[in-house]
Amino acid sequence: MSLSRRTLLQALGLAPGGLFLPSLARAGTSPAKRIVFVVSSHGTVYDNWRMRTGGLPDDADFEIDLTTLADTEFSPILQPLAPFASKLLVLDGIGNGCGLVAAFNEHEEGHASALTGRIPLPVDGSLGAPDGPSIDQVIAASRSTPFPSLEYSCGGWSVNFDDLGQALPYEGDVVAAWQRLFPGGAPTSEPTIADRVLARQGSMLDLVQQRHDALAQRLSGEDRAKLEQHAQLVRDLEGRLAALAELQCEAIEEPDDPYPEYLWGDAGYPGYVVGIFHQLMAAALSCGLTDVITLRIDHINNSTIGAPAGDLHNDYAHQASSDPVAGQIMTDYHTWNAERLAELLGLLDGIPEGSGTMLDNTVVVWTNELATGEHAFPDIPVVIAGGSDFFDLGRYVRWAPTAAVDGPWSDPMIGPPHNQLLTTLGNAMGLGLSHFGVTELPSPDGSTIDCTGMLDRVCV
Amino acid sequence: MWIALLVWGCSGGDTPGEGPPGGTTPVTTPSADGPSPLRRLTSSQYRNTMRDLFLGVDLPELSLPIDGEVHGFDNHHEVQVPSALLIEQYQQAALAVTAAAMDQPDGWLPCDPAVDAGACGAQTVTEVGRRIFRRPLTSDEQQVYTALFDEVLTDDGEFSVAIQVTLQALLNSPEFLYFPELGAQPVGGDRVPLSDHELASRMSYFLWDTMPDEQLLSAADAGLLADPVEVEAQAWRMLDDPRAADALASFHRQWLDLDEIARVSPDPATFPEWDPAMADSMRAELDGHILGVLQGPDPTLSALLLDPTTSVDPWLAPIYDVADGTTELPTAERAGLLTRAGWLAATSHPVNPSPVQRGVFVLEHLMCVELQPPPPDINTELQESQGDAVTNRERYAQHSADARCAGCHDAIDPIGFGFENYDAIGRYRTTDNGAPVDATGSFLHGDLLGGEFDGAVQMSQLLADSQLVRDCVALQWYRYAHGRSETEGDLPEVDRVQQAFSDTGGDVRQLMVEVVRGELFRTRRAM
Repeated sequence: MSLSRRTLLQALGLAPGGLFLPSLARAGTSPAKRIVFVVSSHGTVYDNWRMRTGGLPDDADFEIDLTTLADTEFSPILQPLAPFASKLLVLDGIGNGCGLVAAFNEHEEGHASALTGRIPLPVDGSLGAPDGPSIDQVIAASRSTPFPSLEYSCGGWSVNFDDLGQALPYEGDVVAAWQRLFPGGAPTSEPTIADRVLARQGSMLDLVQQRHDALAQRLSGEDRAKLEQHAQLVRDLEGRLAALAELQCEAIEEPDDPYPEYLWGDAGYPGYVVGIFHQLMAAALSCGLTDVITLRIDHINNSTIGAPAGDLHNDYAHQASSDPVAGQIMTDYHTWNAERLAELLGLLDGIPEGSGTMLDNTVVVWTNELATGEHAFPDIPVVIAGGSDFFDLGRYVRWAPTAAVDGPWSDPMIGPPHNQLLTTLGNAMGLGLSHFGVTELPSPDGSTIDCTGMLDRVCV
Repeated sequence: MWIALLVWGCSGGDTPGEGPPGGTTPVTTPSADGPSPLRRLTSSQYRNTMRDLFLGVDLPELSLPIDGEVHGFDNHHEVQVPSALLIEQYQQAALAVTAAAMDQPDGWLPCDPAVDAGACGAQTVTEVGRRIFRRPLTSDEQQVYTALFDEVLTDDGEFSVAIQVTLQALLNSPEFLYFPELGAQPVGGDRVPLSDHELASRMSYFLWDTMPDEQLLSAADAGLLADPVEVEAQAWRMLDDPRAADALASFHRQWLDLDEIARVSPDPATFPEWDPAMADSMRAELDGHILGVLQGPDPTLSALLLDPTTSVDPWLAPIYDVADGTTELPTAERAGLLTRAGWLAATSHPVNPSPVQRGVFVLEHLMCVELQPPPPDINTELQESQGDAVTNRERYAQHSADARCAGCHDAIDPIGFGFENYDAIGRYRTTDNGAPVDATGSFLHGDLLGGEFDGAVQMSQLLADSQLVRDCVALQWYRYAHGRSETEGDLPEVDRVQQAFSDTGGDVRQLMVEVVRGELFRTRRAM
């Protein structure tokens, strides 16, 4: 029995912020490519997110070399990312045409389309859903890590969907998330009863999987499919536990339970939870537990960003462009998210790997369910960091809008459809996709917008 | 009697074919005759069942996923899809539960392993296995689980290790996690009676939110549940059992969105007296109200909506402006569910109450009127200062002025305005921002059409007297009991249950028994 080990990292003299070591077992092996999706809410405040250095126009394509800018030349929302300028690729002008075409609640549409590139469908009595998987799950299916993917959440609906378009559940409890990654306790010379029970999980799950297969045979249709899927997931778990038992991995310290210092409504709660998730993510990636992680961040208390009382969504997000006070509050909201991203990038960039850092071999994508607080879909805010062998980093890339999408209420102009972003991300992870999600979108003049292929101007 | 679900298009002045789709959402699936899709334990059912399986054991906190919802209910088969996280949490939960169970085996382990470990393993598979599967194991099942036990016992030598692993296999099996309904025997026709044990499970998870007890299992063992008279007798017995409180709590928690109370977060500047402990007291008061009514002498929908009986603690006393320990709220200001602080606070913004949230809640949850979301190109935010608007109500005048809003808000807002006597933490008020409160309003739907009221006490009375509301509540219970949305094939049965609910004056316990008595509850569709 050699499940992962807990170590007291303070004993190693590590300063806060550099909380763990890369897996010793993986040192010297060729770096794997990994991808992290950070998906936040309420779009952005575009005027405070975009960069127009020297008065660059909205209606032309252009690029900005981020490495030559002073921190203060970054837009207010992106400024926390300035220390990572050389490893960033900011993408301005991509539109979520799938969300534009659908005709129900835009928050539901945004969640169902952001990572799927599919036109979401309303579901009677429940949340809207896509008719296929999100890109992270397609990437996950190509990996052989113990966890095909991890989905963490500090509030918000799921943006991750399986092949059938079913939303994946999120882990929102940092303690449970830690226990899942590091199920072993401190190593002991004599295996305890608990160790010996753990060692038998393989045989136990083997029987469980057979029982699901057997019952599935007696059912039909969706019921049968449900149990067959369950059986497959039990098989996967069995394999994962076996793989975990082989891994030598340095665990981070178990998080406090149940958050003695922070409660859900406290100002510091979201930052605490997201911070723990960041550490778990960096540990899981460095240990090779998974190559694909999604972190959903939605819940922020008003006090977290020093905002006055009010419903963040209804009172501020919906007014972000039209009301200066609301615009500043939502700018603070998105800046807070950028600060969190900077924290994650710092962790990944602090782990040496090969001749660089883990960030160089990890694609971190920060995107959003919407483009603005008013539920728009053109110009969704996208920041990529890392993945230096694939992306031409250190740049801000702007695409001017070129085509109108035939929407149910209006026909906004967009730049590249976000399907091309998803295809690009899949290919950054070696999938070799020609397209992802829909292949075309309707224009009001009866023509179609081509959604196939990758983004131009982003690769090395 | 059957009043079809009302779907309320909200596209205002849109003409058909031009506007967004909406207003015609089908709420029934054609040509289905009351299907019985495979369902599994909800998170609360899983926890309750562990409690009842391992009596006397201090169980650890179990981390289980939060299931999605359909029509507000998390026991709907469509959201019960397996995921990697779910499967892993089941495995982890079984590990934690069996370890705790072996620390305190006296209340549940049927034998002494010190006498004969091998025999005790087999006996545990038989006896505890029957309670885990909610039916006796077949001889094949007995054999495979006992074989696992024997294998581990031989290898490891320790009874505790072998029995934990064996119990984990049982607890991760589909017969435990799901409700397989294969039917009593193949018969002709469209429907097949459930086996006695399958029916016992349906009954206990509906009426108790947990597993059958020994009495119900024994009745199933003896084949008594094929008789509808016995089924009804068992249902009444179960409703008189303390475990019925779990089911009543589960239904109302979901139907009334009671978890929202924990997320109430009033503006500290406006409500300096607010303390998070108040939310706990508010929730406890509502839970107590619901159980007090439904386990009391008048377990009716009317009493839920009208009965002012309460139990005021020190946190609630200042909100209700009554003395600590008060047991009946002042009837000029308060009635039942919709006038209690918890519900009122949960449907408020941090500073002001939300007539829209309150109106939508009444329409959707009590009247079964389905509303469409606002058109996306409308800024739904109300301006702080709007002309001469002084009161919260006046701020919402914009809704009826804009034709695109009026389509829905002409129905929503006049209901929501009826609650304007209560501020964002549920305190009674007669003035708002210095001006007198106007809490008059009216209804636009069903037999409530044209009904006018001044304040939520009068409104509650109209709702309590409404056939539309009784039918809606019966439909909500029907969905919950079956764990699925109604289909066309259910409509005669829904109609029958609604009629019975009405005939008994809205008696909720009668309604629950009526659902259980129904043919569609006791049978499944032939495969």
